[in-house]
Amino acid sequence: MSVSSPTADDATQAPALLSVRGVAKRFGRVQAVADVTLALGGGEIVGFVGPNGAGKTTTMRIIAGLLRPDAGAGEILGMDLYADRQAIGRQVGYMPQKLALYADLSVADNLRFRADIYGLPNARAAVEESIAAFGLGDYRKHHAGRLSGGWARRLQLAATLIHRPRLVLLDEPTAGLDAESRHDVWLRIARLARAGAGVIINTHDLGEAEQCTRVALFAEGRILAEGAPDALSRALPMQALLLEGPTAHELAAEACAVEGVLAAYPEGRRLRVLAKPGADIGVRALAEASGLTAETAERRFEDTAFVAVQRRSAPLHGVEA
Amino acid sequence: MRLSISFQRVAAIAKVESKRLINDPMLLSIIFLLPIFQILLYGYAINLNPQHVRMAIAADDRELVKSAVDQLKSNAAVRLIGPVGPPGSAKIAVLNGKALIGIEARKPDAAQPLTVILYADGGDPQTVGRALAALDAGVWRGMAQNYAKTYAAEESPKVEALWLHNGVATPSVPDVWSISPGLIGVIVMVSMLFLGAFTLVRERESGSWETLLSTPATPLDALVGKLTPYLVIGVVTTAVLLLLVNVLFDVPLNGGAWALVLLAPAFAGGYLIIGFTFSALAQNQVQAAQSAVFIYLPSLMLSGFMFPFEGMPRWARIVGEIMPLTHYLRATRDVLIRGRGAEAVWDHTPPILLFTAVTTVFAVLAYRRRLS
Repeated sequence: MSVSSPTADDATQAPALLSVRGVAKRFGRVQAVADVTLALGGGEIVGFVGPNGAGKTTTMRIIAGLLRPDAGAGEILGMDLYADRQAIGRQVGYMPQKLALYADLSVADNLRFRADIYGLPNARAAVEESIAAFGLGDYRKHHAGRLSGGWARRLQLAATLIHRPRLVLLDEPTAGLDAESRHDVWLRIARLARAGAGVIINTHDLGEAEQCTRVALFAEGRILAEGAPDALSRALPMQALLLEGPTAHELAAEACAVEGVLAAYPEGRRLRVLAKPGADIGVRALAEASGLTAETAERRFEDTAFVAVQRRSAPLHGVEA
Repeated sequence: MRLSISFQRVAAIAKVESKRLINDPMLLSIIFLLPIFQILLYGYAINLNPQHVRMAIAADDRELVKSAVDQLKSNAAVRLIGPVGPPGSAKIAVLNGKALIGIEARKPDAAQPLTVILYADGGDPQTVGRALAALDAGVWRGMAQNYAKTYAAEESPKVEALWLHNGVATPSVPDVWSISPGLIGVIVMVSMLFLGAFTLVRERESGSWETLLSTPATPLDALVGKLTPYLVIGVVTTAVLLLLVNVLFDVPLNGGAWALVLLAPAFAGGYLIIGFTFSALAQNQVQAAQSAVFIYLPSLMLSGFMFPFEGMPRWARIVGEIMPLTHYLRATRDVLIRGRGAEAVWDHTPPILLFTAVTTVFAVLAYRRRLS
């Protein structure tokens, strides 16, 4: 799946929408977010990528004004992240991970509520426009709670965008959706960015993350690396090998034991091995001993993301977008 | 549907339920604190024997009631509000709310023996009925002895107890009249408190609160917007209940009844807002409901609806005075039973408004806690 996204170059031309510096948040003994610094321009799509509990959602909630950070500062469109949160609220569209619709209200009523709460001058027209834009016409009188996962997600996205926010925060907007619905969501995200909005998206899907203009790799509350997916793909000095053969996918543990191997994971019935430069000799020897073939594979963004997040370290220091 | 039962399955379900309880320390603490709270409340605050009930006494001959006054002064159940007044003054004191019991004693003449009429306030039968019972024996015996000694009379004095309601004196007041004014307030209080307690927490559980918080909606927007429909329900409920007690039980709707409906938004609002506060603080509906009981119980128990207000210790009366139900109860009794006008309702309005204003501040602060 691939949709046409704005490029990083396009994005750098846009004025800064969001800037946060040194943001931290702790819940009891857990440091959920530590020293997060991030900037976003209009037209950019920034993907937050990382394992569960890495701090992506907390960072997004801080940006959305739902959580007060313990430390750090930030501005959205020049307004203070927390002090001006009411004014910021008019410019931000936040879609939480969990479906947040009024299940006992109709599609039209859900949209109307959002249009009213944002004080849109012609709320009725905005609802009609939104229903048309998101193809919700057949469901307008249906209760939101009775929509299928894909349609409910679509309604939620429509509600999030009804006031045409300049900064859009989407927390796993494609979670649980089928391929077609995912594609539809990404088309809309790309369209938003082309219209000049800044988009931050939390995702576990590394393939989707590649469609972002920039990606921030999160682990343990910190951003390990940040940059364009292409740049991140090339940043880590490593090579990728594909081991092929009847038992290839079962050899992950043995491959990881080879000196210089950073990670190994099955890819169908093959084994993808990520290794430091020069370590391929050991991998090839293992393949030969096991009756497998080993070929150099093209580097992908997922390789970098996988290694960086797995190692919970910052092997990508110095990477620029 | 099979009706078989398996110990293993029951044990598994019970284990999970217990673990969920243990994993919710707030709920657990409420569950354990609530019974302690209740026993303390019942044990220390409730006294079935009223104390210091305001009483006025009038006679056309002070000597006639001298011994009775001496005995009344040493009786903890009542408190004389002044010296023995001229005939008719004790009844007036009850009618205008200065006393709950008024004693009118009249000298014997050719037509009648010594007559003692006890005028009891029909608006607070819980307190007055018990106080009358406490007074009965000793006081009248003393008066009779004094009477016999003074007038060398053979005829026993005539003692009559009359209940005053709506300016009329009758031998009794229907029980339903005693209960229904208070019941209106109690019913509205309970429904408002629990409706308020479920507003935000229901949204929190469904996830829509997170979205609401990310919008420009301010805490006051959310508070007023969420509670307005329920407030309308509270006012309509009050009006309907007033009509019902009138139609079904003949409780008179006097001139001030409209003022009770007018006061209903403040009264219902106070309980809605405190419920909303619990809702903002609670993590789930069970926590919110349990928390609401902490207001519901003292409101009910310390309002004078179930037990005599005058019988409670000072601290319990202070807590009772804080609760809007206490004042709304007094307002409904004043209007429905005592037959007073709207001005009686306004007298009880300031404490209700104060409670509502203070709880609004708490509600806004609780809402601001947001997801943190």
